Amino acid sequence: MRLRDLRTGEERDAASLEVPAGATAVRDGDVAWVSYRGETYRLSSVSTARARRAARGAEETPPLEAPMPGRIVAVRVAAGSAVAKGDVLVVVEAMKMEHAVRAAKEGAVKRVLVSEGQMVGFGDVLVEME
Amino acid sequence: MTEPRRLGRVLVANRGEIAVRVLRACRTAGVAAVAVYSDADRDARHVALADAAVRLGPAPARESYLSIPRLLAAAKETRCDAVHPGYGFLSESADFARAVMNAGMIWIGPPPEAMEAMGSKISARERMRAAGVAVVPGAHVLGEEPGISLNGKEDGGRGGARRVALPRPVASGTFEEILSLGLPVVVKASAGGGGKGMRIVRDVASLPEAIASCRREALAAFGDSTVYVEKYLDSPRHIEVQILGDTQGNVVALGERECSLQRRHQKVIEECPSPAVTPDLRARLQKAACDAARAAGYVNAGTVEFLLEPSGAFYFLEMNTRLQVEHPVTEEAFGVDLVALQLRIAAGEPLPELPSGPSAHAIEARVYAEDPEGGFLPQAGRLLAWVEPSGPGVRVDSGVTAGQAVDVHYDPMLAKIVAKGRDREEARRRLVAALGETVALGVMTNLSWLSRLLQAGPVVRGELHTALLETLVLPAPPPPPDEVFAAAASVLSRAACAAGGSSTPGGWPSPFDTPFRMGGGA
Repeated sequence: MRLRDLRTGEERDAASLEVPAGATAVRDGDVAWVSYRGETYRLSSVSTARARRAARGAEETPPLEAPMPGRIVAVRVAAGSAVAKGDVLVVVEAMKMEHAVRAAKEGAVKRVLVSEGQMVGFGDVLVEME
Repeated sequence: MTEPRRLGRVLVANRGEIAVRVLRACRTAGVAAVAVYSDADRDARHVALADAAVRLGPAPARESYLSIPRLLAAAKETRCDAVHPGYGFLSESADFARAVMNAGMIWIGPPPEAMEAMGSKISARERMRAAGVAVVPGAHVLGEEPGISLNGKEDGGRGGARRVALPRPVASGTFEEILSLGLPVVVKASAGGGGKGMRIVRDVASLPEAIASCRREALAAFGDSTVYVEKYLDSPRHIEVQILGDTQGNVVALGERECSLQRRHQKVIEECPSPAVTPDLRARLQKAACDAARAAGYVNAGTVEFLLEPSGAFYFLEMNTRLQVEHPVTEEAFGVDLVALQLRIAAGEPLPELPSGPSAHAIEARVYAEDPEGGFLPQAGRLLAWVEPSGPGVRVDSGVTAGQAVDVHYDPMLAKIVAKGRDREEARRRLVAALGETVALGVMTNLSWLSRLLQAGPVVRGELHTALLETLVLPAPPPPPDEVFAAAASVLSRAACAAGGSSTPGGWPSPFDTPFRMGGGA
């Protein structure tokens, strides 16, 4: 089985299918979590990882997604707003901390899919750009 | 002065590790304890440990752990005669304390008047200045001024159920006064604590947004959007003194804690004693803290925070009128049980004789569900595996169990891991080892980052200051060795065989997905 480490992107064939001494491993969907010698790793099989990358590559301009689950505390733009790179579009609050979602580049807002007070999940699309 | 009055049954008005901590102290003291929970916490550890548990409401804290009527109803329903608020949530709410007392119950905390006097950072500063204790220069208060943003534009899109108050366009002189402090300055919530709502401002242009977002966070977290501005000292140490006062008027200090290692004003590592505090400096810090507490008529446990400059000069920062998250390092270094003492004080007993100084060194690391490699974003999910460390000098205060959801509604702290030793280096080594033993899978944590931080040169040497984490560069985590690929392949291939047509989304709680662990003895 060929695996990809999700942090470093390193790919390698598993030398064995045994959980080695001292390691703890658990499956979470298509991701394996492994604790070994005080470090935590996340890996998936290469076929799964490839499929994900391919799906991402198909989109033209990636929409702006929620970086974490939380509540929308501010929406700074509306459809048609012109934004500069780095402008704050939406502010998400989770666990009492605020995180700004910023424009990745200059452009115009096509659609805002959230409103203040709304709860969002990880990866929910917040804003679509032209 | 009050007559001693035995506590019969205590309502623990909190969740997570602090609820567990208080429940244990009640049990040790032979006092019955009742837990409360939101729908998100039905299966939480604190619920399982209590003699009885009462549902408060839905997951959002406003409808559960922050609801005074629901907490009072829970106490009444279970015939409690005392309430312990823990930290966070309503622990610094004088309104809650009064409501508890008006309902005929004992409030296990300071008198509401002392909470108001010291809990508002602005009035606490004034009191300390009057008592002759140096305070950080600044304090330009910006009160409630709803509806208009600093740059003068009407605040159009807000309104609705949760109107956010914003300051008026710089009232005459205020802006100049703030700038006369000299940049950088720090914007803080008057009702704040735990680093929430703080914003450092290094250039004039970012001041309006800093004030606006500070207000928003303050309103959400504390229900009060009053903020103030003070000078930001560069590179001080954060030193805080633990105090205890009884109803007979005795006030004692139990040394200091150093909490300089903070990330975005959130403490991550705390220790007792501070490597920078000499016996002479300790005596002066303790005197200032006790004077302040006496002046406020303080009773029960509290913490007086100072900023310590390299010159040895210290300034009052704020007082926390509650038990602190980091109280275990004082307990371990002094050999005391602060929560048990809180219960005795609340029952009207005088303070017993307490150690005059630390007899060990203790360091605490806060384990958060966050992604250190991804901007420290808080993480939510299900904790698929959780193994706590043990060994000589190791203590774990946690409120989680394997299989539990880590919920977005609450603080992302999973556990506090504390190690004590005869000296600082022994405590530090034990803590590094304990972090390495801890297993947390299913949700990303800062475990490895904490371990690398505790092995960084300035931390090993005790050369700490509050801005250290802004500049300290830690080595990257190691790449996965072959063993990790094998372990991953093992669980993924087993799952593929076992799954068939009955795969469970999220991978829990299929019986095939229990963690596989091999003994470390091989």
